[in-house]
Formats: sequence, structure tokens, C-alpha cells
Amino acid sequence: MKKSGKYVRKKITPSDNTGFSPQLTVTGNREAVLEGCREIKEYDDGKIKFSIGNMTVCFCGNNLVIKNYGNDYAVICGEFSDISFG
Amino acid sequence: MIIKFLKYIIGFVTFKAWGGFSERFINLCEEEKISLWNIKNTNGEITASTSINGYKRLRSISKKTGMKMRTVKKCGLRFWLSKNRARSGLAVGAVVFMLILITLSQFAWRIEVVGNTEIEDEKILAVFEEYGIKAGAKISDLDLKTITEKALADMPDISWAKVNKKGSMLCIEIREKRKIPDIYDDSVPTNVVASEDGVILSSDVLCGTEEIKVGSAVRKGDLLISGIVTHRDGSEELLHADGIVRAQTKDTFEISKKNICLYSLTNYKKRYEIFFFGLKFPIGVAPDGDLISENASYLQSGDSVLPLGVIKTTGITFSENTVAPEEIQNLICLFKCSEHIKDLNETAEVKSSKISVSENNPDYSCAVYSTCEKNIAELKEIYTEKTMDKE
Repeated sequence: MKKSGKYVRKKITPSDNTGFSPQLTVTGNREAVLEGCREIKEYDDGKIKFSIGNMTVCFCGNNLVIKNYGNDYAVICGEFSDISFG
Repeated sequence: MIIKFLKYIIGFVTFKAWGGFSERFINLCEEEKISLWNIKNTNGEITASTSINGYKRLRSISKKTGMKMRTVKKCGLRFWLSKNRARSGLAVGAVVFMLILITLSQFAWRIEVVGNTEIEDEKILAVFEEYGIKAGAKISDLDLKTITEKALADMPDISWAKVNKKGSMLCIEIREKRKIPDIYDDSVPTNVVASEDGVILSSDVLCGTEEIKVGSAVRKGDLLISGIVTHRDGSEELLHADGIVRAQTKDTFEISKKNICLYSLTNYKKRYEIFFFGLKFPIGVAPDGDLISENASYLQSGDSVLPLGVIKTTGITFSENTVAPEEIQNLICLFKCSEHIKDLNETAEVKSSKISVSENNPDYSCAVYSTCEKNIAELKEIYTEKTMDKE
């Protein structure tokens, strides 16, 4: 893309194309922020499964704690061993 | 941190729920807009925290989902206050303490002076006190910049000043002016003359013509070093004569009982004042007398002097004592003589002193005869008239 004699690199972020899709931000394997979650499908000692519209996201690991939950938004902390989508 | 503090102020409840559908329980909470945090599931038992209002609404949800609930912990100011309702005095005390703390922190507790070497602290503090900077003054009411400017105008020996706030202390930082050194003016033609009678011991001529010899006796005003120098060609030149001429001199000091006036203490009054943040609360009537002195003692915390203390004012009245014992008067005469020798030692080298007492005289008298060595050189200007050369 050439503009007034200089090359401008367009920054591409996933959110540009996702619109109202749920967003998942993972920090290391200790914290994850899930925006756009509808409900909790499954919750036990080592597993939390969230419904995010027509699919699900599942966090597996140890000491899983939902730090905050409300307004289609959840903060999950713990030691994640696996994050899977279904 | 702020959120944690707000949560504590509002109050929250930590609870346990077990036995039913935990997922449905959490989803229903979300639907009912009951915020939950720190949700943890251990062996089918949920532990979570919620607000006080939210906890009240949880009962119906737990019934719907078939869960049993139990409170684990109640946190927050509201619970603390209700728990300590019987100890309401404690809360009132805490509030009063905070109010006192806030109120007192608005006043200057201490004034400190930094950077002065020649000028005394008291002098600087007195000037600043005139413009309101004193212990107990309300800091917010002080226009420090204007006060500093005014104080600087009053103190010509200070080149720069600044008042800094350090918590409840005001620090006056100052810089003193550097004194201009005295310039030795050697352009004026002078002679060196004797300042008193004596026998010359040594002479060190710095400039001019020596007019005396070692061992010769001189009287006060005699010429020692001349400022008029005659050259080989017969021409004369006026110079600024200078030198050190040491001579043996004699000093006499006499004192008699007549010259000594004794006073005795006739009245002694004192009064105490309580000093609290610049305000003085007197206890009793102000004392009067010939000599009024003030002695203040302030409360100290470490190195800091607090604006709380007691001021003691003393008033002493004297009257002339005409019936004082003779021994005391005689002793005072001797004391005055010894003081004179001490003073003499500061200006000259005292070689020998002899104190003579004439007791036969009804007016007891003392005399000190001292032999000293000192510089008797004294500069005396040679008066000249300037004449215009006619071309």
C-alpha cells in the first residue's frame, strides 16, 4: 500500500474480522479472559466449559477459579493444561 | 487495591453451595445480575463471594437449583460496625482522632531555619513572625512567596530566602550575603605615631623612614615612622608609612568603693503561660520589675520541637543596697581589678601586674600596675593640599 511516497504497513488484528464474536485472551497458562460467554455448561474440579454462541470453549487444569463472572464476561485463573474448542 | 477497598466498604459475603446443579446456579446468578467472584469448585461444592444484596437474592436461586447454602465469612465495614455496635465509643474515638489529625496537620508545628552562619535563628524567626510565619499558623492561609519577598526586604544581610513546606513543618532556607572585604587604602600619605608612652623594644618598618631607635623612650603622639621620604636627588615623596613598633608600656587601673554600687533583690514574681500552637494561655498576673526574663520549655519528640509547652516569665525588682557588708565591697573591688587584667591581656602582652590595696583609706581602693608589651604604632594622615599646575 503506497501513500504519499511512503509505505504504510497495515496492522492486522483478529478482531478486525470477528465483529461480535467472542474473544479469548490468555496470559501464560495462568489467566484467561473470555468475553462473549453465554453460560457455563460444565464445571468441576479440573474442567470449566463455557458456551460461546454456537460453540464451546473448555479450560482444563488444576486449581481453576472463576475470578469474575458476569455481563458475558469471565476471568478464569489457575494452571491450564488444555484449552479446547468444540 | 482500590476495588478491594471499595468491596470492603460496601461489604461482601463468602458462601458455600452444594448438592444441586452448580452450573445452573451460576448461570441463573448471571441472569439475575448477581455478580459472583472467586468461584471455586471442589468436589461438587462451590465457594464464591457476592455482595450483601446479591446474597439475599441467592436464596430463591438455590431453591430453584436444589442447592444448599451456608455462609463462610462476612467481610466489610457494615459487618464490623454491627459487630462492634456495643463499642460505639471506639468508632467515635476513631472519627474524633481522624478529625484531630486532619485539623492539626493544617497548622505549622515547627519552624526551622537552615543555611545561616552569621545571622542568629531568633533574628530571622522574628522577622518571619511579623508576617505570620510562626508555630501554630495555618499553612494554607500563608502566602509564602509574598512573605518571603517582604522578609527579604527587611533583612539586607540575606541574599536569598525560601520557605518550604515539609509536612507540618516550615523550613526557612536562607543564603547570607558575602561581606565585601575591607580594602586597605595605601594611597593616603600617613605618618606612624605612638599611641601611648613607652620604651621601644623593636620596630619593623613596612614603608617610610624610621625615626626612632630601639631602647629610646617615646611619648604619646611622637613620630615613629615618617611618611616623607627624601631621595638622593633632594626630591621628597609622600608615602603611606606603615610598620609594627613594639614598646614596653605601663598601665594603671584604680577603683574605689565609691564607684561600686550594689543592688539587692527586693521582689521576685513569676508567672506561667501554657503555649499551644502559637496561643498563650496565662496563669496569673503578668509580673513587673526592673528585669523581666522569659524562659520557655517545649515538648519534644526526638529532635522535633512541638508547639506545646510552658513559658515562665520572671520579674525581678532591685533596690540600691547601702548596708552591704564591707567584705563584699572589698571583694568586688578585687574582682574588678582581675577583670581589668583579663581585658588588658586581649590587647597587649602583660609581662607583670601588681595589685595594690590601700586599706587605711576609709574608701577602700584597689590599684593595678601592669607592665605590658604592645604595638604602639598608630597611623596619622598627612594633610596635603592639591594644587593645579598653571600651564
